[in-house]
Amino acid sequence: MEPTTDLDRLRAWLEGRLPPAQAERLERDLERDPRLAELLESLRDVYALTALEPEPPLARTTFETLERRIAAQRPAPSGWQRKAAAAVFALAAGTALAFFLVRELGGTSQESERIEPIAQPTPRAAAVELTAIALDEPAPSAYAPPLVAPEVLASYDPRGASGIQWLHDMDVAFAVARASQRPLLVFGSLPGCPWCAELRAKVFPEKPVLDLIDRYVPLEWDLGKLPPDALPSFMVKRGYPLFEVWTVDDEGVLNFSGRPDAPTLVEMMHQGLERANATGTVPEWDDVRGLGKRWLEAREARTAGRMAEAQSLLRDLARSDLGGPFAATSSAELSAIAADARSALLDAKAASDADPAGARANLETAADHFTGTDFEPDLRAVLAAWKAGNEFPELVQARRG
Amino acid sequence: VSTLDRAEFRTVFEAERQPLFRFLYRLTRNASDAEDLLQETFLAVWRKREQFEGRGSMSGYLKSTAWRLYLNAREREDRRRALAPRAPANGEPQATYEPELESNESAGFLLERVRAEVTELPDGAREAFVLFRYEGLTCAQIAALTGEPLKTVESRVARATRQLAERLRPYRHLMPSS
Repeated sequence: MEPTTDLDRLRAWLEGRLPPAQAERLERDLERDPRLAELLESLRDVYALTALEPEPPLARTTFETLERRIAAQRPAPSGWQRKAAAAVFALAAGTALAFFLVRELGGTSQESERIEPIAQPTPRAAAVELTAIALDEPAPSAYAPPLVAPEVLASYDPRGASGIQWLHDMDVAFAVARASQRPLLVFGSLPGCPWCAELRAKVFPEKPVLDLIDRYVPLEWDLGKLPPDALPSFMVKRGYPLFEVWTVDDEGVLNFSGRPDAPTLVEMMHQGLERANATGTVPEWDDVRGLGKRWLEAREARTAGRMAEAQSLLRDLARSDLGGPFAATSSAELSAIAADARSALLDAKAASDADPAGARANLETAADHFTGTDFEPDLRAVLAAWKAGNEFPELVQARRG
Repeated sequence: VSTLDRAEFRTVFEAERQPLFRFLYRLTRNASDAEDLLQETFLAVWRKREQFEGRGSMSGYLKSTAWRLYLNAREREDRRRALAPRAPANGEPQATYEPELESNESAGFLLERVRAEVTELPDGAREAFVLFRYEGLTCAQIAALTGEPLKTVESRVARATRQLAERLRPYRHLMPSS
């Protein structure tokens, strides 16, 4: 595409893609226009700096994953199914019309020859009692925010081989704090700060500090990201280098600053735990990581369409004593799976008159998709009754004990 | 092709999966989110396949669908991020400091700084910059995709470029070539 803006022209020029005539004109413009020249310099720098960014990974979603989701969520009749349904309808209408014309125009002589068919009892589909799928729209469940950074939760240890493993993202740190039921120890620093380097080299690696960091979620806050005009007053008000203790509810309970030695830092960390009411028993980091790993496995299983495995893992997480945010999000995921199964069934019912073959095929796919889950028996029972009775069966809700 | 059938849909999926994932990954900066949005995009296109009547390219249609879904997801995420840390009650004044860059920073550190600064760009500017820089779209293509006026896109990309250059200037000497 022809570059139409200055930015497009500058980029094309930097990449050597600008035709000679346009390049010449741009070079003249650059000599005349210092703002354009300054933009070119910025673009050149930024292009060089951002060239470090690696290529994205490969997508893992397969067409089969997509097909399973299509079948489970919205079994809309496809083009050929609609055409087949239309053809069946046309054939039925034609036959009815021909029958009517023959009967009306053919006279009574044929009527006397007509052989009454032996009445065949029409098989009626038996009602199916649903034990897992809820017929009624489920009441909206409590809002569960999405689990933040499950990958971090599955592997995080505040005390790594190389010392304190400071987190750098506030959302991630709060997510880890909620999952591990620990307060945050916040270290406010600036890139290149010599005092921070000294603390990192001499104070943070001390054993008493490392032992106590296990009770915290350490967050390093890059104060350089504050608006430049806000930084001086921030440093005066809250101190620098900054140490604070925040509860998981985002309440600051302790503030201290400067260059504490190890014993002072340990003393302040003990105070922080007391003020945050965090001196009691907390889950072991191994257990927190275990929950994180299981949550990732559940998500992977659901994405890959291994619904029985997903349901089983999510159920364990939802029931876990240590659950916390894992329990809430797992319950929400379980509700979403149940809603998918319910939609598959009700969509098949809705399409069963207009396109019975397509609707039944979609329900069979959905039953395969939910193999091994609580919902499979309901879906299979409906399919069996549908086949036996040649029509979509009546659905009734089993009493729940 | 006025309406996609399943075989055509598969062909489209195989051809467009990776470019679309790359597009979403650049926007979301997260493989899981990109994967989710990728599936949602194809599901949405399949559900509304009758609305695609062969006007324009399928690639463009997918991208604009993915863009809309990304915006919805971003809005939900923004609502979630209402949480902001509050200052503790008793702060004590402290001494000043003079920043001075450490000389032993690695390329990994630089990459982290670059990512942090790109993340810090205001919404709208960040997306425009990412589409311009990493997806190689022209300003006009970005305007068509996002529905923003061309001038707005141009000024957003220029502002983002200037901001990044200024904020990353102290780290320029860490670039591998320097």
